[in-house]
Amino acid sequence: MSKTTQTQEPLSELEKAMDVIIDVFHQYSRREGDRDTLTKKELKLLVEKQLANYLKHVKSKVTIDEIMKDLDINKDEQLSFCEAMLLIIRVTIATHEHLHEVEDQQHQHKHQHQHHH
Amino acid sequence: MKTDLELALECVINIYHQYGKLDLLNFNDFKTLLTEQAPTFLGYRNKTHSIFKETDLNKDKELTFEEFTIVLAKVTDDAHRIIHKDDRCTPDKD
Repeated sequence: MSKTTQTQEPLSELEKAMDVIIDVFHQYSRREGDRDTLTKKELKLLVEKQLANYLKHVKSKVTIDEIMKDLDINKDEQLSFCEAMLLIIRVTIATHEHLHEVEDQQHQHKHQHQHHH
Repeated sequence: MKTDLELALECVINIYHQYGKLDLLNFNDFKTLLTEQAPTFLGYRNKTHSIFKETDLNKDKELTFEEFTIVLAKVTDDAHRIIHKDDRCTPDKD
């Protein structure tokens, strides 16, 4: 079955990244119940498998229950793509901050070394 | 070993850094980014001004990464709707 594309042009880097985000969502959302929403179980699997490295850096440990409660805006015990995007956005923001923290630390470390003689 | 999702999110961060200066996007940077990286979302609409205005929450004429993620969410939601042949997002709604 081939996908019909609206344009013949190759996808941009951003479009490719968004395709991955959507694809990962579907990999987990289609497992049980509504194929386009995440149950708590599917969310747990997604977070544990796909955000494993991110979880290591998170300072305050949140439970899947807490994540679910926070994201499930309409309280239907499912996460739509829109609701799940909130988590994706938060993770992206945290990853961005972490990258800059690491850069700053490395810069400071280098600076200290230079003054060590 | 980074997961597919984590790599995709890093790619987004890299794109932001590519188009911005000193970790901020001004209107021109933003317009270039959307035109080159999200042509399907923009389509034929010339709405970059209004999208920028909506996204620049503190009205300092520059977008921080947090502000930029507002647009990212809309563009990704729009792409998801296209796949399911749902109604598209319009840039000044949702």
